[in-house]
Amino acid sequence: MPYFYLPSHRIRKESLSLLVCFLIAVGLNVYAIIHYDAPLSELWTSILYVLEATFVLYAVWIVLRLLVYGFLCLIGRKPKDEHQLPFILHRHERGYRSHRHHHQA
Amino acid sequence: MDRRDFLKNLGLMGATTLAATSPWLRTFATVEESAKERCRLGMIGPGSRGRFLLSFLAENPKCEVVAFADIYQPSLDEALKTVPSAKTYTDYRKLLEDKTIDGVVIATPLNTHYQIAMDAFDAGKHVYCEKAIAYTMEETRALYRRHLETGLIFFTGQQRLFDPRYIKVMDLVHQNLFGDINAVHAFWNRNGDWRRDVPSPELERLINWRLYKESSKGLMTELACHQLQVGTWALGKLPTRVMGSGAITHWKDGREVYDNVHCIYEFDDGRQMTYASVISNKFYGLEEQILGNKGTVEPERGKFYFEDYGPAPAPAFVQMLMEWEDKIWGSNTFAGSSWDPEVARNNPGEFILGKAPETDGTSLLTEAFVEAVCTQKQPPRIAEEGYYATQLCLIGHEAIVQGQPLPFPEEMKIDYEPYGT
Repeated sequence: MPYFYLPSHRIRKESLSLLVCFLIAVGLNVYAIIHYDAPLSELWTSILYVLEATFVLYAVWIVLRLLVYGFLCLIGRKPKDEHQLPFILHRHERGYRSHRHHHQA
Repeated sequence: MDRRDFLKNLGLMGATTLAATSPWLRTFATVEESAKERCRLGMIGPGSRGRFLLSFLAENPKCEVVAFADIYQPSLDEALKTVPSAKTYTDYRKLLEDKTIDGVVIATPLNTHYQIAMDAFDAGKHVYCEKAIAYTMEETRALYRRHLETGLIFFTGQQRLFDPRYIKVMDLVHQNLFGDINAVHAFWNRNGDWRRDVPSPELERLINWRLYKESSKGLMTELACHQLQVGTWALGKLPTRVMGSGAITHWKDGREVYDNVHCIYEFDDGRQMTYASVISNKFYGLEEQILGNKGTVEPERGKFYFEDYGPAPAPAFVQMLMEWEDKIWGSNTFAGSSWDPEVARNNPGEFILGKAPETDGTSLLTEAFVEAVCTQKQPPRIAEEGYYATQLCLIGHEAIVQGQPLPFPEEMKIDYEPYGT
């Protein structure tokens, strides 16, 4: 059973991914405003659409990584980056978790 | 509607604006000065249209209708019900001999307008002549020239010149509120045989004169005359070429004039004015649609419509996503017809005068004629607008008859700056 725990470096990495997705969404909004000759106020009035797009992009990024991870596992190759999936903890991370539980007990 | 309501209806339009767009309204500027003056009028042809005009004249305190002339006794009898004291004549020339009569209102069949109006001018009478003012282009020009030579008042039955809706909206059109006016679509549709009851067969051509070539040119002279004038008023120029087609397609009852006419009036800059009249379908009624790139005017309905009506466009971001979706998945063929974006939207428009129309300007037109006769001052442009309205319907009819495009004849142009002639 996997542990749903993210170490701080993973949080930083996923936050960076989310930020990149947000910047891409903002960039798309800027492009759309110019392309459709829309008022600049749509930079903030469309912020909900931009946030929505951010999460959609992030979800796509997760799915992409899942597919790659699954494919590599299928062909029996260990992924180079063991931390590419945010919600799957690895050996040493599980150990850390167990250790903490032990101390707390 | 009286003059007070009329001016109120024009709302915020100042005197300067009115003078620029509709200078014939200056005739009302003298009403105070001429308050004690009174004119005496005779009416030649008190048939249905004549009696409609009479209903306004009889109530006008500045005029007295003193005589009627008609060759049809029932028309005289009906007119006497409104003005019992008036004299009656069966020969209009007898009426013209009455020196006490200042002016005449002519509402007879089209083919008689010319002779009666010429005789009236020769007798020194001011003339109000129903449209179209003459049966041929040459007669029309001769009448106009006679008006200039005599200096007598000459009004024609173009009541839209005094209709508050038209006056106000033409001001907006000329201010470019509706953008470039590239076309005018005028039409008058009704579903009826256009016949009047005839008590005796020998009176058929007399009473139903509109249906026979000898006395009328049908839909073009009786209906189009009003609407073509609206088109040139909006576009501010005369067409250079006219083409048309006409036929009797439905009312094959012995009539000689078309019951189905379509014309295109082409201007030197490529703009177009179309005219259509079908009297076997009334669904679209009558209208003069003035089509600008920023808006449309339908003065008969009393409304205008802006092109940018409708819900605000989606945010650019959403538009972009929808465009991508459309590119990826293609148009959904079940979503609607491919011309759906072109189907007229349900745009309610706005009333030109803020409310539904109540009058067509006829009462003001007759009031203006009375005022002009009292003051003996011809209002600017009114005779010229009537002149060109008649010439346009006659050249349209001629194009239909000849079955080929016809240029507007140079020799029929008069000195009229608003149309550049």
